[in-house]
Amino acid sequence: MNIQKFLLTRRFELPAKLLSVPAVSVFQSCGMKHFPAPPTYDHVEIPERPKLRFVDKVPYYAPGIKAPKMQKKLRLMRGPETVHNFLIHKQYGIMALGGGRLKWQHFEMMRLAIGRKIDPQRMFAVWRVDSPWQPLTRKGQGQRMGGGKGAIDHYVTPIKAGRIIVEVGGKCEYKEVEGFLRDVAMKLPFQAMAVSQEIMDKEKKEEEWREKNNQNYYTMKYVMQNNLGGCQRWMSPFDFKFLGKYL
Amino acid sequence: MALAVRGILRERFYPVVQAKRFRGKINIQRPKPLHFDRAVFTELTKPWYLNPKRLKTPIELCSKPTDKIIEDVDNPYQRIIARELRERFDQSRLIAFYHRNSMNSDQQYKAYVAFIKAKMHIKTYGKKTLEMAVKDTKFEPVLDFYVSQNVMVFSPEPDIKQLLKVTKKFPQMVLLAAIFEGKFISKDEVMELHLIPNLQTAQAALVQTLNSATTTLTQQLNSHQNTLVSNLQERVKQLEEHK
Repeated sequence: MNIQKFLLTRRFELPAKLLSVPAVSVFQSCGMKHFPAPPTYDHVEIPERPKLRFVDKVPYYAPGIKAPKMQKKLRLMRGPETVHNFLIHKQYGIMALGGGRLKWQHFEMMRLAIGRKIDPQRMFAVWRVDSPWQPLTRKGQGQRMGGGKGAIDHYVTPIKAGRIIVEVGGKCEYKEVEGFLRDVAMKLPFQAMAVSQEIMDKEKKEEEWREKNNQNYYTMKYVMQNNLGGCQRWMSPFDFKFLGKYL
Repeated sequence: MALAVRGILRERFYPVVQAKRFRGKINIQRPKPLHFDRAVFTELTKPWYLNPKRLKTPIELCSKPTDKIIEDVDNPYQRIIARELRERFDQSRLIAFYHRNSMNSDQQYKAYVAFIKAKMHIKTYGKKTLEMAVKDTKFEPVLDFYVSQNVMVFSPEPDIKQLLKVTKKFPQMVLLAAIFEGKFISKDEVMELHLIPNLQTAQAALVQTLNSATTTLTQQLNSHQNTLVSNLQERVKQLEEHK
């Protein structure tokens, strides 16, 4: 077959990479090295006991008092945390992204993991949650319904989304603590992340920007408040409170 | 019609009122899949934003990685070095600028030592530091020939002879220009200055030039007497040799 005919009849597609001109030209330049001064943490005071204190499995009751049983109170896990949602020492910590319950085992895991990883000379950690106080009851295995409420099995701490669980501070940078804080956060029974003050500030700013620049006029809040489409028919009391943001 | 009315009256209508309470028990860790209506509402109320690229010009949309572009960061150490360089510029009476071709560290060290022995200082600065030192001063033209590997020699004494003597030994150091007593001179002018002798000799030469007219006149007038005297002296020598 004629080569010319072959070339004219076929469509050749070269990959874009071959024809593109690189947008960046790299050349070597040797400038005077700049070593900026490291950040100072002189304002940070390290407490006497830098490691996390031991947390009781069972809350203390005066002798003679029977440990009271309690309702399930799932509302203690629902919705956003409005009080303990910022860092006291303004450094680093673990923030819960969802609701859940912390058992004593979780506390131990956190205490030991963080205690192993921090340098007590220049870093410290503090609890930002109470030790387990809410009693959870369980009936024996294979028990039929009825016969009263079960016995107390263990105690938990309910956590809401946005709560700070643990704070780590001292003369250290975020890069140093991020590793083990994230490991600990992954092991918690709810979604959690390692945070620093900068991250929280940035997130706040982004949230404000998102709220301001949302082009969708019909936000869930607007829809729910104005009963568009008769949505208030199926909304729960929690929807009226959280307006679709939290379950 | 009457039958129809009686029929309606006979049928009892009991309004059914159903009190509905919310069950309320949700599993926070494993949420139930949303009801279709709620899912529809959730989807419709999803936020969307304007594309940040929409009002940008093509050049702004260029995908050149901007994080690779290193911006000028104020370096206090560099400022100190630049100030030092500026002082050198002001205090040295002779500053020579060289282009340095590649040479061994040994050769570089030898050059350094040779210049030190001639009481001159060989210095290498970066263009940025030089710019800091020299910008908006009378020495600004130096930046024009600071292109490749450059080296400067500072001398407190304007000793061009010594400078050129040392430079000859190191052919990798190519003299470009110099600043002599605060004035820029090119390489050719350096050579010219090199040929000029010291002040006393120059003054003597000047005096000679001034007196040249009178000296030629006296020479010409005394030429015959001088030839006679020289010839007689020659004859006296010949006679003495003969004896």
